[in-house]
Formats: sequence, structure tokens, C-alpha cells
Amino acid sequence: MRLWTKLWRQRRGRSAEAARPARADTPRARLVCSGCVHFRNDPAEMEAAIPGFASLSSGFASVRGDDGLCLKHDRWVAARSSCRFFRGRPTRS
Amino acid sequence: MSTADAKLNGSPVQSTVGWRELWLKEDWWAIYLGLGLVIVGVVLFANGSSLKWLAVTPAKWSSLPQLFDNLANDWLRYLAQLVFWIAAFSAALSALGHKARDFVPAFLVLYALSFVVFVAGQWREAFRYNLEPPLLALAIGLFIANGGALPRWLDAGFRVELYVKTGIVVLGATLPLTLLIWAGPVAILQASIVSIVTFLVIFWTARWMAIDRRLAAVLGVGGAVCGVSAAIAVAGAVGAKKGDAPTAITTVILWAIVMIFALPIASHLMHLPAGIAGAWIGTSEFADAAGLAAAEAYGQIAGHDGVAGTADQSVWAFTLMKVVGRDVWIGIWAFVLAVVATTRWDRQETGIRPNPAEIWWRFPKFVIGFLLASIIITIAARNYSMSNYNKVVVPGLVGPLKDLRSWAFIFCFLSIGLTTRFRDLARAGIKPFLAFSTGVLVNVILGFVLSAVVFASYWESLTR
Repeated sequence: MRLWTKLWRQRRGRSAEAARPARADTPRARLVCSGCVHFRNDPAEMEAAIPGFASLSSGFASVRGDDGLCLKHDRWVAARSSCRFFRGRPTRS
Repeated sequence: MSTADAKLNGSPVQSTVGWRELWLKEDWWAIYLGLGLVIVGVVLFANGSSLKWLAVTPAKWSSLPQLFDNLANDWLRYLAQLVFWIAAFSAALSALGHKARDFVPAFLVLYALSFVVFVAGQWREAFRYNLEPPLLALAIGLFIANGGALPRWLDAGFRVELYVKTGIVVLGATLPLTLLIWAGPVAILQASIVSIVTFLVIFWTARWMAIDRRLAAVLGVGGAVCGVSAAIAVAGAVGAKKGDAPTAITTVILWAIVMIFALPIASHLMHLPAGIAGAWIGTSEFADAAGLAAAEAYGQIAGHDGVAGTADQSVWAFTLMKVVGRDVWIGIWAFVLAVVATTRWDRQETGIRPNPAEIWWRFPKFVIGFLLASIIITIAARNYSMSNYNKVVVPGLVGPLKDLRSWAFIFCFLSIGLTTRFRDLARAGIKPFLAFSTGVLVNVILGFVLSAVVFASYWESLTR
């Protein structure tokens, strides 16, 4: 499993500065923004953080999908985006 | 860390795609509430009863004693209605993660203000003083919110989108399916022309001003499709910078508020028939809630002062243009721009392979509820002749639904004003504002030509 993880990281061009995922056996499907510590998409928090968001729209609308903000890149990203700076959210024991 | 970042505490990320959307998205709750009302209304109507008792609205009045008499007679109905709205919206908002204990006191304030607006609008002299309830609600809301007297915790009750979507679903019950089939393709054609032209004008003007193409795209869809919602959707699809969406939001809100007042006034000055003005507003307003305020306000003028048509025609034409014609473009724009961003624009550090399923994920689902409501009422009323429809179905079924819809819209119009604090909006910058304004100018002229000249015969003759 460790070999697989190492190969996978090399293939993705993951840089040394990128932190480790929270768990080595994290399925690949989870290594996307929705599982990253830098990603924020809670609708209520986004409404509070973005001025005017709730005036003529809503964080809970279908059109927003799962999009959120990446605090690492300061960009809007879709929850299924990915990048080499992925850092898994701490798992709860 | 900025103040905005500090509010992003990092709550657990929840996927809302797939079946989870059914209880985690506002659109679906608007369908449950709106269609629930329609179905209950149909069942009661079929059994010889009606929603009429619950759907109480202030009656027309010309003197204060008359007003107080009306209110004294109906206080129990208003109380029941208030309890109904609290129960319905609390259930929806609790499922979405809000706290009912925050919502209920805020909604009590909203209902009280809505009641005042409704009563003022029913004054027989209101028309003379331009006291159309939508505009009055918006003005009162803006005045309170920007006067600094409004505590932030009250925002829990000002759910603009939930109210407007619920109202639009119920509105489907008043719009016959035959009309949808007849005028729907025209709406889609007109919306397609306007969306593409407006987007390209804003995008290329912004690029000419050396604005980043991602911000240009976000501004473009904000003007072309559905204002703030489209801007947010496309910001995610193209990987826009964090400040791009707030910039678009500020420009959209400022222009949307201006248009709520400007379009009905311009239509009135030109004595445009209600259907044509509704189509123009649907083409040239930037948000459903704002556009409905303008269309409803113009509907109140219809039939007076040289304005032909009915209030229904204004709202129907607006809804066909904006909801059926323009809103459904959101997913398509998001997908196309995601493809362009990942294949044509410079590669960035965050990446995603565009997925055609995005068109469905981002589809404004409440439109489905709107169509279903129209189908249900059309089936329920299929055996009635036109005269019997007006004599039996309207007072027993469609009328009460229309009254409940009016309440939902008043909640929405007040909430727009109450949540729009101009001093809180992000600074948009002169270039983005000018680029967007160029698109507004083209959109308004093109929308007028299409609504009042090219497709005028369709919009003018919208009837059951």
C-alpha cells in the first residue's frame, strides 16, 4: 500500500512542500478538494463571508453545486477539483 | 487572515450532489413546500373545500374604521397563516442546517412588516401615490437595512431565495400548461439571443479593458443569465479568484436594484402592455427575485393609466422569459466555460476535468416544481369550460394559491431590501463596473427590441 501511495504521489507530481494526506490508505477518490483542509464550502459560512451573497442568491441553491473556496490558492473551485497541494482533513478517532 | 476568511471556519464538507441534494438544497425544499400547497389545494377543492380560509390577505380599504373592522374579523386566520408559514419554512430551513430558534423571531418581524406592506398596498388611494407593494417592500427593507437599526441575527429570517422559489413553484399553478407550450419556445429563443449577446458584450469589453478572463467570464454570466447565482456557479467552474465573485455580486446587486425601479417606470412612460413589459423585465433584469418585484409592480399598474393587459400577463411573461428562458442556461454556461477554461486558457494549479453532468447538477431544480404545478392544475381543471373555470376553479383553487404566492413574494421583496447593506458590499472597481454596465446597456436595448417589436405579438396576447 505504501508503495502504491508513493507511486501515485510521483505520478501526480506532488511536491515536497505538499503535506501528507491524513491517512495513507485514503482512497484516491477522496484526494480532491472536498477532502482538503484548505477547502471551504459550508453554505451558511459562505453566505456570512461573502458580502451580498444572500441578497439575491443563496449558498443553498442547486446552481452552486458543491463549489467552494480554496484558501491555499484563493480561488473558487469545484469540490471534485484536485491539485498537488492537497492536504487531507484530520480524521476523527 | 481577512475578516471574510475568519468566517470560513471549516465546517465539515458535505457533498450535496446526487440524492443528498433532495434534502440539502433549497430548490428541492421550495418544490416540497410549493407543490405541497398545490396538491393540498387540489385535494381540498376536489372534496368541496378550499385553502381560502388560510390564504387570507388584507381586503381593499378606504378608511381606517373599515380597515380595523376587516382585521378584527380575520385575526384568527392571520394567526393560523403565520403558524403555517413558520412551521413550513422552519421545517425546510432546519433540514438545510439552520436553527429554528434563530429563524422564528426573525420571521415574526418579517411577517409583521409584510402585513404592513400588504395593508398599505390595499389602500384604495395607493395607486395614486405609487405604493405598489413590491416597490414599497423593497424601499422599506433598504431603508431599515441601511439605516443601521437592523441587528444581524435577524438575517436568519430573510431567506430571499427560499421565498422566491416557493412563490415561483406556486405561480406555476396559475400558469396554464397550454400557455407554457405556446410561449415557452419563444421565451427560450429570446433568452438565448439575449444571453449570448450580453455575455459576449460584457466579456469582450472586460477583456478590452485588460480584465482577467476569469473575472470577465464571471461578470458576463452575471449579466447574461441569472445574476449572483450564475456568477457563483461560473466562478467555481472556471476557477476564478476569490475576489471575482464578490466583485460580480456588487455590480449585479447595484444594477438589479436600479432596474427594479427603472424598468417599470420606463415601461409606464411608454405605456407598454403588461405582457410586453413583463417580457422586457424578464430579459433585462439580473435576478429572479428582483425581476419579480419589478414585474409584480408593473402588474399593479396594468389596466390603469393607459396600460393595457392584466397583472397576470406581466408576471407570466416575466416568468416565462426569466425562469423558463434564462435560468436554465446556468448549467450549460458553467460546463462550456469550464471546458474553455481547462482547454484554452492558461493552465492553473487547481484543475478539474469538465463533466457534462454539471448541466444537471447546476440546473435550477425549482423550475421542475414550477412545471409540475402547472401540469397538476391543468389536469385538475381539464373538465371546466372557461366560464366555469373563472366561476369555480379560480375562487376555489387558483385564487387562494395566488394569495399565498403573494405572501411568499412579499416576504422575498422585503428580504431583498433587508439583506442589502450597501456599505458591506465589496468594492467592485471602476473597470468591472463599466464592463458590466456596457452589457446592461446592450441588454436593455436588445431586450426592448425583442420584447416590444420582434416578439411583441406573443407577449401582448398571453391569455389563458
